[in-house]
Amino acid sequence: MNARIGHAFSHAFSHARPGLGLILFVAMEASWIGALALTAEMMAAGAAHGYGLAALGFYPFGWLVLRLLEGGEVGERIAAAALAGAFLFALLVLIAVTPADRPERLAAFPDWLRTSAEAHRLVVLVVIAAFCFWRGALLARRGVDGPGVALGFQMGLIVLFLLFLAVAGIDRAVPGGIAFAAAFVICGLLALWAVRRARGGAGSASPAAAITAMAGVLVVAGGLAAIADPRVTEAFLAILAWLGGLIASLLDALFPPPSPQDFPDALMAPQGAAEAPRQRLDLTMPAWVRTLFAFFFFASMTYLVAMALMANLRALTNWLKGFSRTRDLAYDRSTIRFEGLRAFLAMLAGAARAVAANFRARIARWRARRREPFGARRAYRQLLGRLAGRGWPRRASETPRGYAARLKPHWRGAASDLDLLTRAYETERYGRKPVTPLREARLRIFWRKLRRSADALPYRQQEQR
Amino acid sequence: MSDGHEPASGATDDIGAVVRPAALRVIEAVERVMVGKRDTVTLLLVALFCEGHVLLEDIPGMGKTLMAKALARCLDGSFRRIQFTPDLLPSDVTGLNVFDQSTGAFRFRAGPILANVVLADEVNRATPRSQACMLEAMEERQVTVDGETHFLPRPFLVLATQNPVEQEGTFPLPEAQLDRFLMSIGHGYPSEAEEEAIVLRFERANPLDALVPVISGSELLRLQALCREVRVEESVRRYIVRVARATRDQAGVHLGASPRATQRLFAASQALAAIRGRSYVIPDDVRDLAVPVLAHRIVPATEARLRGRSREDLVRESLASVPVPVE
Repeated sequence: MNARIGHAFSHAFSHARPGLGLILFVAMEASWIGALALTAEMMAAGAAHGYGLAALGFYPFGWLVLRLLEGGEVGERIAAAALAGAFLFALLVLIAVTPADRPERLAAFPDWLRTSAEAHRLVVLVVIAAFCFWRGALLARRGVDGPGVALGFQMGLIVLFLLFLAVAGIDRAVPGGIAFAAAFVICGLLALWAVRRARGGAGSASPAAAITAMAGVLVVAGGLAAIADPRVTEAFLAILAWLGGLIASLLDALFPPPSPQDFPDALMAPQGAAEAPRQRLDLTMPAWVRTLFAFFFFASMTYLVAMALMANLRALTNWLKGFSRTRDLAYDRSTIRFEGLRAFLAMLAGAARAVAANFRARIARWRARRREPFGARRAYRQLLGRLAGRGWPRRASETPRGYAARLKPHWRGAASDLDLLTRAYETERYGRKPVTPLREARLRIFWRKLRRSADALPYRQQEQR
Repeated sequence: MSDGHEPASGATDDIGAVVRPAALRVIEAVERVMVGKRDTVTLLLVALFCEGHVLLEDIPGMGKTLMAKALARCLDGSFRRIQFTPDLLPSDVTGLNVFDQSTGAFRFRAGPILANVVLADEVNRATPRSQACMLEAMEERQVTVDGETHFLPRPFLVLATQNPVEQEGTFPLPEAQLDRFLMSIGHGYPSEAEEEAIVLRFERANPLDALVPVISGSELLRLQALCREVRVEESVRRYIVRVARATRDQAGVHLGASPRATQRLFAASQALAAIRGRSYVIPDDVRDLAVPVLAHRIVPATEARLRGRSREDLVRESLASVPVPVE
């Protein structure tokens, strides 16, 4: 058991590397802490529960911005931008709807959203569901193993959460929450069992796959529980979402996916058996913009959380010293609200500036590529990027044919298409032959086939070039 | 390295469509004599098409002389063989002026070097003085006897053989002469099946006797001109230069490849691309030729020799250090 726990921790922290990616990830994980801290505060003080989710929104928003910065296919970036917009909308809904003492701020929202708590909850649930599925799919495809970093922070979060429970206490009976937790555990076990069965007992393909399954189960169970018991608030969903992520990470660390060495013949290994490659951030924007963005993001998160914690600590200290007769956390709500909003807007300003600066260059590149006629060079370039993302980068000293020969044993289904694309690329690149309409049509056909089958290639640990 | 025939994907075009069939004719003819040596024959053709000379270096009995003879038979040109021995004189190679009593004047009697294909057998057995007499012929395609210059016929190809294991009574070729060879080839032992096929092939008659020329001298000159037209894209040209230069910076190399080596690698890549049916060079052509073209030209440092790193290993390491021009 000790060995397993040791393995879990080594799995969790082996991925933690310095760099902007890690800072962003830390900031995003810090927002979870903020979410829970504020939620617990609000619950202890008997206040409204919207702030927890407001802070929680930083996490997906930050992740989406990170995704935008990372780059990738145009479609992916558009999807990320759309989801970021959806999250922003959800956050504004929460901020605007929750304070019932400011009716003038509700005027801009439709009635169904303004008056109905269920509609309000539904919007949040739908957005979170979309995010969970999208994030899981993205992680699974890119092989990002950020959950390792997340696990470390979540460990710290347990301590924090227990501290809050001890100080504030939650004595409300929540049958809906219990039902939700039970549904989560049962559905989670079923999902894991299904994944194992589908992979011939080989376990999940990657931490990301487990997270994806858990996130899906979480949302379904959360929706059911919310319908069953109106007292299941977003705060509980936030807490249980975090628990789900934690359990998924732990399960994945304790039962790691099989490594290629477990299979004498690589072709016999179940798809995705290889360990997911480490996250490789390739942020193409200028360094100073990146630094600014990271600073804004991290500073705003730290500020928000610190404000809440300090106010709480001050109230607790007053209570313990006898200056206050109740243990209610008597912080100034309006100050918290104002400061939180200001921090959030500061973060948005930094992010918007970063995104704008990043997109200028990206749009210019995208336009240049749009002007370039479709041909083997473009297709080959996209294929290289796609394969590199799956852990199969071309070595610098490798020729296109050498690269194809190395890939073929692992990619048997696409060997002939890969050969065709490689030769077409050579003709266009080194022979400077123009693309004829007939050749372009043929190229499009086998490029489409290649693109589809490239997504089925197993992930592979990045090798040193 | 195979001749790497391109499948019908549109890659074969004008130059390739002319050069490749001719190359295949020669390869098939030589293969009636030689068993399982297609890679070596392809390299010989590369040398032939880019006017280079070849050093066949292998242990005795591996078919070096037979291969040279077979190739010479396939060409419709003159063929001479020079057996290099320690007592060979330069005039035995280049020819000399003899006094003609009937005319009362000196007349040039051409040596065996004045032929289209010259087989210099066991070239390292001759003294350095006799070996040096071939320098002018190989590089400038002319010989000078008693101050009079005689031009060699075109095409002109020297196929020299040498035995690497017999050190007794040999004179290793100096670097200057090695540099004049386009490539050095050694093909090693045949497989079991190939050896059995060799026995069967020579069971009754020598297939060499049945070989007839499949390519004329004028056609060969035209093919050589076509090979020089093969396109070398700018990035590939830079790649060739970088590969050659990398041998100079390579740890364990005392003396790297010369600019002549760069130029020869360039020409050889063009010829190989044409033989493979293309009108443009790709990085694979360069990689396939780097070892045969560069290895014999570099001088390993003592440390590398002591560590057992061969010249071929050093060239391969240099290749691995140069990025291939891809997107």
